[in-house]
Amino acid sequence: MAGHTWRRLLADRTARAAAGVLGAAALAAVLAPWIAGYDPTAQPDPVALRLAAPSWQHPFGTDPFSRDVCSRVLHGARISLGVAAGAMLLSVTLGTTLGALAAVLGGWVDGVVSALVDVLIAMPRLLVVIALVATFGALSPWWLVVLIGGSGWLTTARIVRAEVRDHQQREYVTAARALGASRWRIVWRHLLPAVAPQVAVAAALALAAVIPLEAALSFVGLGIQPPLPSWGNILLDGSDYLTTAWWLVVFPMAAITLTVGSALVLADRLRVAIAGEGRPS
Amino acid sequence: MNPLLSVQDLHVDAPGEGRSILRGVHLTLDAGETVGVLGTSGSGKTTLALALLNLLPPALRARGRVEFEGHDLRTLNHAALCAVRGRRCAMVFQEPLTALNPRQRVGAQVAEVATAHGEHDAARAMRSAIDLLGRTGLTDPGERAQRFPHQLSGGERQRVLLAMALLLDPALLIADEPTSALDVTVQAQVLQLLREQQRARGMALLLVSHDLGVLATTCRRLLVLHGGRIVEDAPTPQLLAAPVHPHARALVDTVRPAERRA
Amino acid sequence: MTALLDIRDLVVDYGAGNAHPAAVDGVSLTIARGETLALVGESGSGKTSVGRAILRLVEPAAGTMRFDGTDISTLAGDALRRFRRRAQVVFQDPKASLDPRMRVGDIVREGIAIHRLASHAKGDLRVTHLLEEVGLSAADVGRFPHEFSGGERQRIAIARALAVEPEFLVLDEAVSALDVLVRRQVLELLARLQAARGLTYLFIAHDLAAVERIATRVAVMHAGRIVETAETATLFSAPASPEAQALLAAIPKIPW
Repeated sequence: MAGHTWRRLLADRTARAAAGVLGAAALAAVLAPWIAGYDPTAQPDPVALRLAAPSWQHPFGTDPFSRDVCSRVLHGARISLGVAAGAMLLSVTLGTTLGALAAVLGGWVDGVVSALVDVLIAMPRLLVVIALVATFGALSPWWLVVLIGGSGWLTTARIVRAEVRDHQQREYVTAARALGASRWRIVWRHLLPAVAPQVAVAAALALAAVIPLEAALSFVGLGIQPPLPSWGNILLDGSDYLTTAWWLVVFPMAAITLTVGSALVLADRLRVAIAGEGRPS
Repeated sequence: MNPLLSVQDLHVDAPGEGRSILRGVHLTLDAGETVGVLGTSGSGKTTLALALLNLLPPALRARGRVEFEGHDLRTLNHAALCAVRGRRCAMVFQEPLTALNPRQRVGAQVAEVATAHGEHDAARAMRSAIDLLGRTGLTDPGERAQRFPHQLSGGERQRVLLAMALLLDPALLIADEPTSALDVTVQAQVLQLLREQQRARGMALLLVSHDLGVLATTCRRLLVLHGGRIVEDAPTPQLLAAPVHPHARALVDTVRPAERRA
Repeated sequence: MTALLDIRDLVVDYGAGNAHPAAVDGVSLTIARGETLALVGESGSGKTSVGRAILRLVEPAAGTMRFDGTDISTLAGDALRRFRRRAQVVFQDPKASLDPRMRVGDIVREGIAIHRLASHAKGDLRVTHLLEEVGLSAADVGRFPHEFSGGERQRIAIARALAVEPEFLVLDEAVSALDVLVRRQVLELLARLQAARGLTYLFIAHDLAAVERIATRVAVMHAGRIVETAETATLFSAPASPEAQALLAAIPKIPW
């Protein structure tokens, strides 16, 4: 499938830059064990290397336990981006499936999904997740993925449902029905490719929402537990030293801002590419 | 006598797409004359209609001379151009729904044309609007004037647009596919109206269409536009009887038996 | 000649209730194998709904429809799918009726894939033949619909319909949006295909002049009903109903 939307997106320099930043962040996360200079939990010299400013040996400085902040940010990316990507995939898959089912099956399925979306969307997500974590105690990264992803599918479902319903009315779908195509073939071959760009927007937005959500949970101590580093708990560690050791806060914060910003820019450029549909590329 | 409209070597290019739409169009139109521009899609006929009144989208570049009542419209300043548009030379388009403001009652839209061109008495403007709507064959014009565009049929909307175009008694009416979006019986009525108004006012008519039947029954002279050039320019009977250019011949060949008057 | 299609008292109602007249309000017609029946009417007359009801794209509210002797108004599941191999459709605007994200080869192949009419390799060959049959080339399989002109796109839509080897085609204003010159070529193509494949056509149009050369018979529709059905020559020379007379009078008479 090579719709015009994707080609227009590829031709967009801003979109390519944003995708590049996200790709680089993902690569850094995957390669962290090999490219990080230090063990992120090692405390080589808690006295002499305590809160060392950035230097050639420690480009992002060290923390109160003499751990290398650069290595911790890189390893934190593994956790933070891993949780974010997992949660994003879960919420987008769930949202696309339920949204498409609601649109295609209609009837009571549509009624149930729509009602569920309407009710759940009114709930403050962060508070719900905090309440759950507070009830069941600290969570493993896997549970965090399930929790964040499982609560994030609503907007995707809503968008997919509306888009599928729109495309179902179009003549090329009628033509496929006239050819004898089954409902599911039409969904798979025509409708999902048609809504894919919108799903991609939802995915980018989900990513942009989930990264700070994980960080916020970890920052208040309900997310990823030390000594495992995540961008949220690195920030938590640094929050006491904001005035004395800026590097503890600035680097993880920059990592969050850069990835979230790139995801938002990508979502925006995608929207522009979709809006250009029908115009010559 | 000088012609009413004279177009000399008009070119329109789309620099962004690296192609030319019009490649040196020449045409003249005398006062009161009815001329049809026949062209298939992509021939440049809509671009020609827009270029005459300097209404081209910004992506297109025009050069050449368009002289109307002795003024070169291509170099006229904005205020003078506005005075020409609507007052001396009016235009109607194919799709009446998009040419009307969806949130304004049609009577007010017709009256606004008069107001915009110097009629200060609002009541008088509305009266002349309703009067004109009646003369374009709209039944119960007082009531129709109170409606919004979507509450009218396609044929009624086209009559409203025609009323707006005719309100200031223009010397030239340019109509671009004014009936192609309409049902055939409504098309016949609107064409009849167009012919009547043209004759009654003695205005010149430049009718642009892909439909030879529409043009041949309304215009005394036909131009065939092909590939951005006028490839044939002849009185209607002559063009029908003996088209010279192969493209003109092919178009004349598409006339269906039912369209030939017995 | 036996009737391929026989419709009695067809009603299509889009659920507006009794306050609104039905879109199709008791239509009966027959189409003989190999003929072209033109269904002509103005917008809103219900002609498109008749075509869609025959194809079971909208559900008829009442009436019987027999295709080659079998009742098609209640077909479901596999039986409906099998019927769709026999009756196909070409819509007015190929820009809307072709999936813009699919390559031409996949568009034409879709029917072959749905009905498993050929293996993959044989399917390729079949797609190539179909494209050539409608005047396109084998090299076009990898291109997208937007790379073609309006007439070429309509040829793609025709090839897609022919891929399942139907006996009957609903041509729903299939040439109305085309340029006069292109329209003529596509009409010639349709006539050639009809002769070569023994096709039966229901030719839906809003313009009476458009059907004179190709229709065996003409049915004129108005407000959900058929007001007149006649041999084409008869209808053009002596229209009986006021609606047919009005349509005929609306054709611009060129002073020759």
